[in-house]
Parts: sequence; structure tokens; C-alpha cells
Amino acid sequence: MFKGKQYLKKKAMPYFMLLPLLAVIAVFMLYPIFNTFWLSMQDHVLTNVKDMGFNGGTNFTRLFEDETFWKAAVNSVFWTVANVVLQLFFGLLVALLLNQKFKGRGVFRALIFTPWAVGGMLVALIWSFMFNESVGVIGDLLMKLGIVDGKISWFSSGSSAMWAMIIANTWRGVPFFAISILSALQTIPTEVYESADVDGASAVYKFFKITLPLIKDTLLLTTLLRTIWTLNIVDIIYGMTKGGPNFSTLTIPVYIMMTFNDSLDAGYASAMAVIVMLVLVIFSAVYLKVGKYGEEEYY
Amino acid sequence: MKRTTKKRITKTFTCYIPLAIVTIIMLFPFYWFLNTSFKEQSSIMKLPIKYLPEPFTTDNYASMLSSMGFDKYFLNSLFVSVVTTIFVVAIAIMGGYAISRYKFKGKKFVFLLLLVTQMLPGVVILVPLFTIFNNMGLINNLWSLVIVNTTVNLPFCTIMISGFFSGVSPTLEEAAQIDGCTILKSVFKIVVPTILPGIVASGAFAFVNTWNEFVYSLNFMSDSDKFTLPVGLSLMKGEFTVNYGGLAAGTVVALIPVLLIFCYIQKYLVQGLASGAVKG
Repeated sequence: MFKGKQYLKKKAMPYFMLLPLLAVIAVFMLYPIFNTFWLSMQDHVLTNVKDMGFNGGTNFTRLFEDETFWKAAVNSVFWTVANVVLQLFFGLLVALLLNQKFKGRGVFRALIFTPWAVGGMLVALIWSFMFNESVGVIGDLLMKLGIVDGKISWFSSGSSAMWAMIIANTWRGVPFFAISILSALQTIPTEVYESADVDGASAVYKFFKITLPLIKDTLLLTTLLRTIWTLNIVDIIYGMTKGGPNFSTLTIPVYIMMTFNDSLDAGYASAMAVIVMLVLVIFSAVYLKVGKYGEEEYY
Repeated sequence: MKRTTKKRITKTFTCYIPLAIVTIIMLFPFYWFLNTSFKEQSSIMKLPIKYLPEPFTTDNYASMLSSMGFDKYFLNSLFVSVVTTIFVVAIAIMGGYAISRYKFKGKKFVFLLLLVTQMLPGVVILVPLFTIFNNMGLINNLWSLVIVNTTVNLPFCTIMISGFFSGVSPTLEEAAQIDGCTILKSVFKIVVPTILPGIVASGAFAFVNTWNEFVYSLNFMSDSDKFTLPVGLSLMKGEFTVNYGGLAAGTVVALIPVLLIFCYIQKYLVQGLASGAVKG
């Protein structure tokens, strides 16, 4: 009898311990996801209770005819791809740099990684001021270096505003890539390089034939996560341009939030959210499949 | 001799020079806001741009702290971040312990759930969350931010803490349990102290994320005395005139807590990320 009770207690214990965790995730994450799908098929404007109800695919047909949505979709792709490519490139360089042996490595690592801790809104405030047309330091430095002749009005055209935001976000995002790649680089045993040295391999050969294949899975996972998060950034864009001028820097997540804020149209905003989720799920699956994530053994 | 000089020259070009350039680029924006925060308002908007704060003034900090509700925003942010951190750590210790120490049905599913949910983007579930908190009467109440930030940070922190538990052998707590200690007591009195630095790092991680969170704060709080720092500062960027000196001072003050915490956790980040649990 005693033994049975003890056994039950041991069986049930992990579930008891996981209960708060799973309850929170179920109520505030899983339920909202399902709710988003449900809302996307409803007329659901929070201020208009009497007309609420199922409306089939009306939100989606409206979406496909919404020019701003398509503009935002194109901007989202550009914003995400440019950010991820730049951050991957510079993150890899910084990680290789910090993987060398030199004095004060810990200090330099900490200094270079600090932008990681800066919140999106603060990034927006800092860089908006640095890109300011009349008293911005970036314009001033570019003139001093002789790269441009006059002042640049970064935020008056869509493409330069977009690049200003991409530069700001890349500054914040490079440390994340560098941290992940550096931690992967440090798991590579030095013997692998030593045997290549014996064979007289060049540095370039070692990088492409040894380093890159060994950190491939990290690169795949990091770029995938970063793609998802970059697409979903709202604060930097909202803080720097609010999607302007004339929606030329608007991305879908910012559009979702602004739609919900302005019209309280939960159904329409949810339809956009559903599209984003579906695209991300399909993209992730294809990306990991094509990249052969975790399928190769190296040792 | 000649060979070592050659080596040293190569090292200068492959290591020290690029290192200096990267460090300057990464730190320059911080310097620029620090510099601006000590300038007089009139000299901020005047050309040519000054690269040093001359004349030097601390007026921006004084005006920042005395007006514009900055102290309120700071306290709101502090409240939400501290309470969230406590919740996250308490729940993640229990969950992480279960995942690390027990074999049970559905373990794989739980782990997968945690991996997938930490990828989950914020804004796509904004609408249903707003409805939930509206029904709970928690719109314009800081507790809604505590709940949502706890939820968002739990998956990663649980995975991270379970990793720390797995690094400690279970013999100590088993001995304590044979001596009549309850499971909870043995966990909190014996295992938790040994992995405390790791737990503090995961808590710090949740703190930084919560401190920086913007979208939910903007949408769930409607009265200005409930605003958190990112929302409050974003409003200071005003429609017509911008008090850049005050804004810079506010940004510097808002950065201090996270930068201090970052100094502590950055070495854990490199370790934590190596285990495959990633979050930026």
C-alpha cells in the first residue's frame, strides 16, 4: 500500500512541477493562437458588438484587395532579408575575429556585444537622432569623410528611410549572430585544425572545408530564428518612421498593430496575423528541409 | 626574430585593427547619446556639431528627473520587470527540474512545445491577448504586462535552467530525500544554491527582455501614469519639437540597468546558446 502511494507520487511529481509552466503557456500563448484563427473568420470590431459574427473569408478577400497590405508584404520581405543577410555576414566576421587568441578578449567581447541589450525603442531613439537631417552625426561624419557633399534627408524618401532603419537594426542584431556563432566555433576541437595544418591546408581552405560545415547547423538555426524575429519587429520601425513616408517602410506586423489601434478591427488584424503565421511555418519547414538541418554527422 | 616581427605585423592587421574598428562602431552610438545628454539644449541644435559636450551641463538630467513623468515610467518598468523575473524564475525552476530529473510520458512533447513557443512572435497574438486582458479587467493595469512578459520569457528560461540542473549530479538531493527532506525542500535548499549563478543569469535575461518590451506596453496601457520607459520615451519624441537633451538623458538612465545586467550575463549567453536554446 505504502509502496503504491510512493510510486504514484513519483509518477505524478513531474506533472505537478510542470503544471504552472504548461498552464501559463496554454492560456496565454496556445489559446491566443487558436483564437487568432477563429477571429480571422469573424466580423469582430471591438466597438461594434451587434455586427459581430462569422463572415467566412471576407477578411481575407478584403486583405487581398488591400494595396497597403501588399506594399507592406513587399517591404517586410526586403526588411527581413536585408537585415538577416547583413547581420549574418558581419556577425560571422565578428565571431571569427573574437575567436582568435589575444589579450583582453573577455573585455572586448563584452564591449562589442553590448548593443544586444538595447531595447528596440531605444535603438529607434538613438539612431533617429544620429540620422537627423540637420544636426545628425552620421551626415556630419559622411561629409567630413568626403563621401557626401551635402546634408541627407534620410527620412523623406522610403528607400533611404528603410536603409537607415536596417543600419540601426543591424547594429543591434550583429551581437546576437556573433554570440551564437562564437559559441559554435568554441565547440570545434582544435585537433581538427591541427591535422589540417599537418596536411598544409590554407586558411581559406580551412574556413570553407572545416569551419563552415561544422557550424552549419548553428548558422541555419540562428538565421531562421532571426528571420522570424526580424520580420516581427515593431518597435524600431514604429519608433523611427511609423511606416512612413506614405507607407513605404510599413511592414505587416506594424500594419497589424496600427490597424488594431486605429479601427479596433480584431477580425481584419487577425486575418493578417494568420497569414504571417502560415507563411512563417511553411518557410521554416522548407528552410530546415532544404538546408538539411541536423542530418549530417561530422565526427 | 624576423619571423616573430612578421607574425606580429600580420596579427595587427588580422586582429587588432579590425577589433578596434568594430569596437568603435559598436560603442559610438552609446558615446553619442552620453555626449548629447551633457550638452546644453541650444548647442545640441546648433552647427557645427560638437563631438565633446562643451559647455558641459547636467541640466538635462535634472529636468528629466523632475518633469515629464520620467520617474513614474521608471518605477512602472522596474515593477513589471522585477515581478516578471520572480515569476519566471520560480516557474522555470520547477519546470526545468522536472524536465531535467524525471522520465515521464510527454516529455518530448513538452520540450518541443518550449522550443516552438520561444519562436513565437509578439504581435500576431496581440489581438486575442488584448481581448483576454480586457475580459479580465486588466487593460491599463500593470499586471497584464507581468503576465504576458512571464509567458513570453518562460520557454527559454525553462530550457536554460533545466540545462543547469542536468549539469549537477542528483546524488546530493537524493541523499537529502532519504534523510526525510521533501522534494521541494531538497530542490530549493540543496540544488538551487549550487546552480544559483545560472539561475540569476536566466532571471537577468527575462529582466532585460521585459525592460525592453514595447508593443504590449503600448497597447495595453492607456493612462500615461501606467506607461513603461520605452513607451514614455517614445512619446517624448513628440510631434513638433523634440527635447533631445532630455531624451538623451532619459535614454542613458533607461540603459543603465540593462547594461549592468548585461555585463553579468554575457558570458552565460555564450554558454547558454551553445546548448541550442536560442533567443535574442
